[in-house]
Amino acid sequence: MNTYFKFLVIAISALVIISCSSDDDNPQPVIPDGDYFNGVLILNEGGSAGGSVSFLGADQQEVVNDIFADANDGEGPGLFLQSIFFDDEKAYIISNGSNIISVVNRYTFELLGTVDSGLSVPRYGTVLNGKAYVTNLAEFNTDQDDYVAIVDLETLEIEETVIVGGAAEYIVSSSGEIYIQNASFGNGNTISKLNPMSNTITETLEVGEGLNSMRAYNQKLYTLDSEGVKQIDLATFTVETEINKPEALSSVSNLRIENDQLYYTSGTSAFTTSISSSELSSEAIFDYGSDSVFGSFYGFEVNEGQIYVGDAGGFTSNGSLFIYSSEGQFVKEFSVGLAPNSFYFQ
Amino acid sequence: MYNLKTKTFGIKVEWRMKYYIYIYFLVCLWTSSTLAQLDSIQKLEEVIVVDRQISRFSTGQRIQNISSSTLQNTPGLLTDVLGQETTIFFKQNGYGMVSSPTFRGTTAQQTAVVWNGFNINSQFNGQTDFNTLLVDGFDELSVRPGGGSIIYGTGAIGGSIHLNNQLKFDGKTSVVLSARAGSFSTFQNLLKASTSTGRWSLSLALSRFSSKNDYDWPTANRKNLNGDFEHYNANLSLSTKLGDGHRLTYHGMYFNGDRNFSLLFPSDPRSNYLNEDHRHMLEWEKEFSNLTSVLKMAYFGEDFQYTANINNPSPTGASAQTAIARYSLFYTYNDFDFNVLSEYNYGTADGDNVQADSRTIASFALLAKHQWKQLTSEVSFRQEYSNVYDSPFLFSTGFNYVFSDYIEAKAKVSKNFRIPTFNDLYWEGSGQTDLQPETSNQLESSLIFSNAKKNHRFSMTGYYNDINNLIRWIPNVNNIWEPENVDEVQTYGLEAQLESTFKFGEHLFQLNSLYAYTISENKQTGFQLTYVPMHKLTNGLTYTWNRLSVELQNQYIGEIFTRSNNSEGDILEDYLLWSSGLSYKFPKIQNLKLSFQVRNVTDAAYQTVENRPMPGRHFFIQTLINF
Repeated sequence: MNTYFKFLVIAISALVIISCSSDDDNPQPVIPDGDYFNGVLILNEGGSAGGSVSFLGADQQEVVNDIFADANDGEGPGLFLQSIFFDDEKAYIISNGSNIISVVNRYTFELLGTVDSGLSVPRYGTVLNGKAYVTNLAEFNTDQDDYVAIVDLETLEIEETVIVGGAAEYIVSSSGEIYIQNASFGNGNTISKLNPMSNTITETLEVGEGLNSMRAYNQKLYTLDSEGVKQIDLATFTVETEINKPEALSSVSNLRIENDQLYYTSGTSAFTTSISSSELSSEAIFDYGSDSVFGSFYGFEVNEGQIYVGDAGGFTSNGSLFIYSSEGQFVKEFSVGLAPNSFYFQ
Repeated sequence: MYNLKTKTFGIKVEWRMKYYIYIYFLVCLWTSSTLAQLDSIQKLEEVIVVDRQISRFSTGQRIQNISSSTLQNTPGLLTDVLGQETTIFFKQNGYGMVSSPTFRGTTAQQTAVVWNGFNINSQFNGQTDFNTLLVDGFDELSVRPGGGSIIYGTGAIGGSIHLNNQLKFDGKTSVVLSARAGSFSTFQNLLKASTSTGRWSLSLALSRFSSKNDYDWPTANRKNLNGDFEHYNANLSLSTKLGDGHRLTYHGMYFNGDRNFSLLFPSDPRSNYLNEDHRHMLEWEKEFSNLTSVLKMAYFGEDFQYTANINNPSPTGASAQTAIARYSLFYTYNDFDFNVLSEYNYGTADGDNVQADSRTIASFALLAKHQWKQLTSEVSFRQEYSNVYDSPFLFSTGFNYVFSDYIEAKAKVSKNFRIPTFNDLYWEGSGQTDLQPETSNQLESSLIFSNAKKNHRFSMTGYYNDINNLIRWIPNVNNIWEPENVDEVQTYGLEAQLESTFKFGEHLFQLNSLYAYTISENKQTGFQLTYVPMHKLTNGLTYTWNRLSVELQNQYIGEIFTRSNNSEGDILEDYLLWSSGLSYKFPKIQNLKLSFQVRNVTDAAYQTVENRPMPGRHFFIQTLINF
């Protein structure tokens, strides 16, 4: 949702409330109720004591930590929070350590229900036609048992599971089909297509080695691997354009797309390249100089011309959120929860 | 909050009691047959403890002894005993789960657990899980704060915990039987027997401890899930005098633990941990007039198996074996006491995640003590050689000075170390063979005041400990966690202890109070280490009148940081726990002692690890019989 649109909704609702007289018997405001209506949700993976969710309001003044526990009598959403997916006003928080998905109202964070059986190290989810498709890593020593759990969002029960035949990591729906990144932890080089009618894997497409991220944008799929970015046409499910990684860039990861610009990271630097370029830019927008080896760019997102960086530090103390402009100007820094790994805007 | 289910509890106790009556009967038969053979024995007061150094070469350090009756009277595991009786703080992932000590602000690997003179910290992670030691079968538990690497080797930085078996040649036979039942379906049993002649001595202890451990979580509306455990421990000791000053002594222990790990969230995978430890040592001692020669051979086996999900088991495990040969020579010459120590230690490990490998360590140490008027001084050195890492030269020097009957002073300076473990060296894909040992330079001094009758004693100790090359596992670029010598830590603090005994006619009061102020600071950041409370205070008061005894204890733990940057939102609150007990002896029924104990009397909600609630108020009843 667009922020201006939200402001408009608030303004109109406010007018409605003001103009309604108090003798009216049902003066129900139409604004979504909740403290977390406008801003960014920060998912903190957490350590052995469980993860948490933080919130930064759209005014970027203050981070509120532990919003899930605050709204739900101190209970947390689980161990090792992996990601959140959304369906209208509902947010689905995936905990891969506790094999649970907590369903909350995304604006109040009040718990509405859980998916707590049939999951095995769940990773990512996406929603299509009232169903959620959730990737599961299952056993760590093999990727042959990785599966997609198909969850009925009315009953929160798993209807069916589909073995992917390779790693099941990031998952996205576009133009009525489901796409699964068959690569995790830098290993793997294929994308699978799942047909939601038959619930079968219909096609698998090979991209480059070291596939590490994938995004859907304007009815296309973009993947990032050790060779660079590939643009995939969804109708033919083939690679139609490649944007190569120059020698000057070492390993790249965290592909994000906004306003026809590709964003990605390498080391402690962030980069951007136009979606129509033929080569990835090796000129950093900024280098934020983290001394965390693995915890740098633990979270990375681009929203409305601003770059959000999650840094996990040494994983023994709370992580940081750094906000930069898309030109690389430092904007703000906040302390968030333990190991911030993703950002969701509302 | 706490709901005692009297009905089921009662039935279980009754069932258990039947079982015990049966065992009592069996043991009675056994003892009476042994007693029959003890006619022609002359009484000798002699106690054999194979850890000779702790009493002879601890100059400058204070030793705290915990009696076997305290070990038998305290419900639970080593964590429970030491938590109340010492200044050590334990972080537990819920009651009975993994328990790691911090002794004088050091890490869990920097406390050495010493069994009959041998360091038994795990070869894999270098630490002892204090919830895998059942101690009621041991005869003596000593705590020696401060460095002890010269004698006890790796890990004796914060201090060492000594579990000892005693053997007597007094011709007596004794049997102790104890049975305890309590909340959360907890049962604890002990059989301890010893017998001796003037030439032979035998001692045996069997203990068992199990619990469903399903206590209520005060913060969430549910019980502790998947926290049940069942542990067994057996000790066997045997010694014989061969004449002409020769003596052979064997000590053995076996531990078998089956434990589930409690869940943080009800949907977490349910895990299980099995571990089995064997320890054997054989000693041949020969006494000359002012020379004692001691040869020891020891073998330790350690096995564990971890199942991450018991509903879909694919267990992973590892085992390690250690063989040790140690030769010590004790020599007394006028006011001098010498000890030469040489040791050869061969360790091997293999497992699902640890590459099969071995490690050889040879070490030599020289200890010398001198007594001159009121001054006792000691100097000692140790050098180790290993095929895997470079060991530093270790030294220590200590002094005791007795000013008068009322005041004594102690001081000690020492260099100690902790070697990299098998996990640090050989963990598949992570182990680093270029690691250096952690080293610690420390100094401490104590002042001890007592009255002439020695029934009141107050002591104060200050210490400073500078620890370098601390090994920490940190993630590398590929999210592989690897050990590195990264941290530098300094710890310093104050310890105070007050022991008092008052007697008014037949009324006896005994008081023991301990306080520790601990600073443990990462030198690079200046922050206090996580899970090290700055304040710990414990008090124990026992009132005895004839056969009745009443006990009141408390324990205060100050706030604890859970994040390395000491962030204020992530602090575990301080807490105060009370426990009490009441016991009565029936002299006509074989000295049967009946006790009733309440722990966490005020039902305080507390955690020692973030989001891991500990039990609220709970109860035990115990019967203990001495034959």
